[in-house]
Amino acid sequence: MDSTLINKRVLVAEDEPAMLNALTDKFKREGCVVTGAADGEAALALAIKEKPDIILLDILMPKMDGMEVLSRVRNEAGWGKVVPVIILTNVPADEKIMNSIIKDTASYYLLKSDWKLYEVVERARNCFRNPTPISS
Amino acid sequence: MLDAEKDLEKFKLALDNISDNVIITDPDGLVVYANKAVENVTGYKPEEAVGKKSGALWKTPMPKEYYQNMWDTIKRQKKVFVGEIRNKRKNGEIYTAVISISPVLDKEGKVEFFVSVERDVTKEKEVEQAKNEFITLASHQLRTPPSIISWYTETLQSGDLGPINAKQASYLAEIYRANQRMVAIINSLLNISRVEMGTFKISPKEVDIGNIIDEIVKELTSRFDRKVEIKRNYDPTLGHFNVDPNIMEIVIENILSNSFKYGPPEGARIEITAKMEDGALFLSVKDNGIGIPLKVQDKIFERLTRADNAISVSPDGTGLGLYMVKKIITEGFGGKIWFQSEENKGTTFFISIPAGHMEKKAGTSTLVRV
Repeated sequence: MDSTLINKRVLVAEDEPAMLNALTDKFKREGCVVTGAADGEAALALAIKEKPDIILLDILMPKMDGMEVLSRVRNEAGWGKVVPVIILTNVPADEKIMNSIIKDTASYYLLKSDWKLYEVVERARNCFRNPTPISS
Repeated sequence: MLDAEKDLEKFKLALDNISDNVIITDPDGLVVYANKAVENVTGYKPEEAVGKKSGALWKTPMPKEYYQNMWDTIKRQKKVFVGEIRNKRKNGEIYTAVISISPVLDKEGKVEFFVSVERDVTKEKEVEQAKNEFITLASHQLRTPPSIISWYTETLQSGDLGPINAKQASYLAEIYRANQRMVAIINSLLNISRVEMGTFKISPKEVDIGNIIDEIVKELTSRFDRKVEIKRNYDPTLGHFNVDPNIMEIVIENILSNSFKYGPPEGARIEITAKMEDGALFLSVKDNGIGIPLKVQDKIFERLTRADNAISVSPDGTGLGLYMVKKIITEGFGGKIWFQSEENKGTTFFISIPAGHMEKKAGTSTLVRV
């Protein structure tokens, strides 16, 4: 088994219980330590408190949407600027979303209906194989 | 009344009765004339505006760069400025307008005055926003259940939750395939909604059409995993063509994938032509596939139309591809699409897209490859 993800701390922000369950189970099987959040506010609070190694982020969530969570995470110094964020959503990438992501080198946009679970895991692995350098 | 006075009276009458705001200012932006529409749109009477700086009454804080760009365009470059602006009516309500400001130059080329024409587009913007929100929500709601099915099926198929027998594997494969069909239908319907509502973005740029075609041929060859002889007739003088590459890929993929899908199991041939003809990009895709039966040829560009022979070969088709392609080509590109076909002999699709027609369209969503 590829050891890249073993013991990596993953935060999954996803309001759809079945999808949260599928992602949590999959990443746990890869050896990750997984925390889940079912709304944007909880996701932001957990992110700031635990500083996970990677965040899987839905966009349409109650209380705070994923793009707002991303923006606030990136406002955090150090860790917040470089933590890889995989935006995992079924919301089409409109101009506003793409403009935010293009400027954010550590973010990736994946349409859930187009990506298999093992491909999402592989994308996460690539984040640690090719880490973004910490910006000053 | 002298002729000149009569003409002036006519023009003043015209300006006073059009629905767009018309404001004339001196070179420093001081209002010298405002038509009656100014009151209808802003709530301020024309006489309240005359003598004041343009927009002093109804200006909302657009970014500083907006005004810098505007003044640079009309005063320094002496060119027409066109843009979208947000202003405030007398009752405090914010409205959105499309504004065009033209410098009027004297014989020495100095700015004598500026003429601004402003159209209130608030209602159109609200409708567009409502359409976009609907598409976003519909997209999300429709895609979520098949995403769940896909991931759970995949997890069972992978053996992560324990071994499965051959029968279970084949049933799971059927579930997965049917689910992928559903995703394709949803993506097609969402594309069609975007095309019909006009909310999709068009970003034309200079592209090499031959390259786009070759990439799609490569993808389809891999996807269909069969031997197809491809003959390319690309005019070497074709050069680059100004078109939205994403939308062009969708059009070409739809046409070519039909040729791949409905070609004979052995000896499949596809001939692709790309050239400029009469000021338009001309494309043709000729195959030796199953052809389109005569009785459905007049309906083939309609939604959900599939010929019986096509269904026999490929039960999974959506019946939406050609409808969407025609909509894009005729309404998005101002072009034409037509075909010739004979059952059991093959089909040739022809596309003509006029050069210089495609303009950037600031929609908020992108069409997706299905």
